[in-house]
Amino acid sequence: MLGYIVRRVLWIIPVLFVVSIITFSLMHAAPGGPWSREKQLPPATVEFLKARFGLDDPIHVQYLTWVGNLVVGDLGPSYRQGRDVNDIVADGIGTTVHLGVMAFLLSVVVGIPLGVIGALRHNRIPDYLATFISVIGIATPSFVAAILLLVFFSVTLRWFPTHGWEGWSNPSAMVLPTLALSLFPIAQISRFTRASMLEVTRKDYIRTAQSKGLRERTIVVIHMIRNALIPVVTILGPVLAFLITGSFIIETIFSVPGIGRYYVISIGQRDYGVIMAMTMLYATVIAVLNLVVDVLYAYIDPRIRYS
Amino acid sequence: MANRTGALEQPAAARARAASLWGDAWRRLIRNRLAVVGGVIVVFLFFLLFFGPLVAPYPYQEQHLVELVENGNRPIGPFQGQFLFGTDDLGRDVLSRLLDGAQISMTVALVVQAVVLLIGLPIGAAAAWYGGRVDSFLMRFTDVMYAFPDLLFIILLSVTFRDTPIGGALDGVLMVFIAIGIVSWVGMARLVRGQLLSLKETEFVEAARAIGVSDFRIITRHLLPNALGPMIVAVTLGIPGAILAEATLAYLGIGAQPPRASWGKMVADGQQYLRGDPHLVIFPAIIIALALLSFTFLGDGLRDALDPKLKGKQ
Repeated sequence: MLGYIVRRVLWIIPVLFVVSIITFSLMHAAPGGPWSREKQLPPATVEFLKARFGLDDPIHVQYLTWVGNLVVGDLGPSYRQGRDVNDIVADGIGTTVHLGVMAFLLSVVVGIPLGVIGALRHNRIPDYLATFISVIGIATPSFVAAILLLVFFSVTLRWFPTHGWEGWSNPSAMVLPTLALSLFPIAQISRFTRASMLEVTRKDYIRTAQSKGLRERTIVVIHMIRNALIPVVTILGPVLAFLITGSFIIETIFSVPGIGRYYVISIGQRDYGVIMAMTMLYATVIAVLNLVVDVLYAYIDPRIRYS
Repeated sequence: MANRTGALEQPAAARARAASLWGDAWRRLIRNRLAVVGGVIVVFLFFLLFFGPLVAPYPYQEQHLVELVENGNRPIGPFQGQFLFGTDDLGRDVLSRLLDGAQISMTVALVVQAVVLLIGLPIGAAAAWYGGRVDSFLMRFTDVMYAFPDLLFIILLSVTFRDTPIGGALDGVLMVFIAIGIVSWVGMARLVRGQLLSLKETEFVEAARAIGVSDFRIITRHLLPNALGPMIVAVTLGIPGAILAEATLAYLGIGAQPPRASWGKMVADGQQYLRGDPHLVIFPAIIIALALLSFTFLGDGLRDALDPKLKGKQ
């Protein structure tokens, strides 16, 4: 098991390496540069800026410089925001992770019970209600959900602020972004849980448990839910990764000062340092969370053995 | 003689059973009410792909300025006068624009899944059949693709190629389609690989190999038809993801360029009028929801119908 974990952790490094090469090449292949804009800068200025930041070096030299700096923890300058990428990341990463984790917890706390109830009351009113909620989650893109929540709860009812994020010092500002972000994962988790529960319900060991006269409660909690949740764990990693790396639309709509909203802007602006930093950060989050899930899976399901 | 008749009858019997396999699946599918509703809407949406511009009351980019000025330069509301779903802030008929958007979204559905099949199927099949290096290269490569944040990679691809001929094709939509496809084929490759790996060990494949059938023919005639069910399901369930990705990108201003009317772009343009003229957001939101749900329901139904063992599984 330990050997397996070590190998998986080491495997992340070449994966990230390839990700960085692909991103770096694509980004530099894109026409224009950080200083091309509507009103053109004097060519001499652009030349000076390029020389100043080493952008006139051959591409592989630029890449190696970037890798070298990355190894010592320097993500380089942002060409458009007048500060270091390290600062940008340090300022926003906490908020992005906070938002992602809140949405994750909400999705789990709502999604799993919805799925369980739906399966236990299969084809009855609670099941239809739970299905209805997950249908809404599937049918509503997060940007639509965000806009509708914003207009209804902030503009019309004035219950929550329309924008901003101050962490726990102003919890009401967290409600709408968290809700908008978790709508889809709630649907995903509850659908998955329901399907898994329905499958477990038909298992022989459930009939055995029922026929030996165990209490319904014991059967449901000990025998059904525990077994049904094993496959659910496998999607929780991708869900959390999606919530942390996919929050940029919600961050933009609600002006949440995370890092996600810089990503799209930085691609448009050819802000190379920011693009690379975000991609690597997100890729690391995804790779690590996938690893955690695989390990966790083996831990909760003794039948799975990695070698 | 009797023996020969028996040998001849067997393939016929097998054919009959094969036909009823699909027949069974079809019967299971049409018993599933949600799947039928989804399927009907899917057919309707594809109808719009081909005939949308013909049934549209106006050209999608036409500005009805006279009516707009008469309305005090504000978007005209729905269900009154000549515009069934009203107009937007530029006086363009919302219904006609929704129909144009249907064309974009349904083309996404087709092009993306075509890219997914074109790349994912041969690679998955090669990995399963040849194993060894080819296989481990594929699996390593899928690790890399999985590590990319999907939407961000799509954005990067579409921005990179925006000013190339391919980026300008189809009003800027083609590149978005291809980018979404490039990100999505990995799942299909893995699925095909998994299916073929288990089929590869079956006796009928061994028999085919023993009588010297070529690799290509075994894969195309014996393996793929047997893996068709899960592939159909994966393609159908992949479509809402592609439609959602296109709408999200359009909302961010990437992809279809004005005056084309992608549903996501219509939501983005309409959001500032949401309080006074909610129809500018509500109608595109409803049709996005319809498209996402109908493909999801149809996909769920197909999965239950094609493989009863998997019933209810995601």
